[in-house]
Amino acid sequence: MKYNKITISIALIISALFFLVGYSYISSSEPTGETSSEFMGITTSNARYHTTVPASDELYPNCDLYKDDLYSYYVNHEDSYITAIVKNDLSIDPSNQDSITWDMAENIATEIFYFCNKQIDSQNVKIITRDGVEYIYEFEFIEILNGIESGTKALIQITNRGEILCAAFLKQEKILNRSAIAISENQAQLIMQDTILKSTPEEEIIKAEIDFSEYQASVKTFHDRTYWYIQTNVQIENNQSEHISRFYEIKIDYYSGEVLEIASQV
Amino acid sequence: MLTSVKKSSSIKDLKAATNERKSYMKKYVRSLSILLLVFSLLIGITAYAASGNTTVFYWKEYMGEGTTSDINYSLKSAGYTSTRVSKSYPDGVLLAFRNKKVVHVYTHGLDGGGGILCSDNKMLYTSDMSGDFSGCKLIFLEICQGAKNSPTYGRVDAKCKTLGAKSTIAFTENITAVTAFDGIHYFSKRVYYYLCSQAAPVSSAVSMAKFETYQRYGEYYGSDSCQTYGGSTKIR
Repeated sequence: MKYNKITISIALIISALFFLVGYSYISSSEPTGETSSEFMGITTSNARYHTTVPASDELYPNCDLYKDDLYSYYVNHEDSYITAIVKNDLSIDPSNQDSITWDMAENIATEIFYFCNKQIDSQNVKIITRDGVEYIYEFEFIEILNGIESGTKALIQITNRGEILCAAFLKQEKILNRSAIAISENQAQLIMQDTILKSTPEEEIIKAEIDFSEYQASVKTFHDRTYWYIQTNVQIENNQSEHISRFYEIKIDYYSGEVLEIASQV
Repeated sequence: MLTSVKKSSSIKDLKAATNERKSYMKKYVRSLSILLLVFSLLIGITAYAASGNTTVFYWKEYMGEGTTSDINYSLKSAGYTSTRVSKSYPDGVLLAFRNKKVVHVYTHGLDGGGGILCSDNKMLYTSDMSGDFSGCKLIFLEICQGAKNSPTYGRVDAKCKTLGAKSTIAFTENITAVTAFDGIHYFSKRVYYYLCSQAAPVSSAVSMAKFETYQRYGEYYGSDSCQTYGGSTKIR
């Protein structure tokens, strides 16, 4: 049993090393603009240029797709970084035999995150460990600078066999202007209430009060926007004197107070 | 002399008859091989394409359509005979759980878990759910808190599993969207893409859809609270 665990660990480390060596060629090669093959350094790694994703694609517009036997790599052509890694074979083995532990999965995810984000200081990174769906371990990595998300983050999902199922890498797109005066949480709440009162033309809402029993607020960054992200139930009273409790998720620009998005429960 | 002539003619007849039988056998074997080939091909195609009936419920007047049209299309593409039903009454939903291969329910969930709010505000509580769901490969509850454990009613998804459903997808928390096409609706649509087009098992399909939602919006819209039973089940 002990021998098995050691063997599995060695096998996992070797697989991770192979992945990292392959990836190092991908990430270290500079785009030449001549051929994609030179950019990816595929003469030495197994990943080969497959296609360029059409501009109309929802997820990877204009990204270059490279593939090897195990994974597909979506590469942002302009900024030359990998935006996603997806396992080619999505089948899973539900048996418990040889399953890895949470710690082993976290080690693999951490190693991949730092390999893809070499410039990041690990002291600035928050790791959120979440119960993935069955057989899958899920980790979110968020870089935080001066208390605010920088925009560099990743979601990495590891299978029970220690393979990457999929990994999304989001990058800070530009240095954000942190000198501007940010709006406070209270101001964000007032903007939220005001927005709800105006948001549903088919239903005249006369009162909207935040229910703080399950209230959550945080400052997040996605691409080049930093925003207050408030998730809460709101007690609503309409002009028919009906009282309704409705769940909202709202994004309010951290500096301008502009409402970027308001999502409500379906 | 007569006897020898008779003998030689009977040998010739015998040879001719044998040859005829041989060529007949050849033809027979050839036809049989072709038939077997066609038969195996048909069986192969049938096994590859999914078959059976599926239902996609939504509550048009109150909830809109979400991405149920895309979901219906995905199921049809996989080989199912899929029907989209714009009203989801408790009896109809329960009947579908018992008789259909895949059931998608897009409506409200009972606050605190343990129930499905159907059309005209009729509630299907877990305590009302009974029968044999073992013919159902997947029940996807696109409702708030369908996987939340209510002290009174329990979990809707767990009850479906107990009654025999091969797999379930549901959420412990509230699910949200800005429009009919984004947020959790985008997530649901992508789950079916992976289930039907990529023949992925349930847990991989859910993980892939969650990852894509994160990549696209930077948020989960409740999909991070998604729970599955029977994650290794495939519907195609």
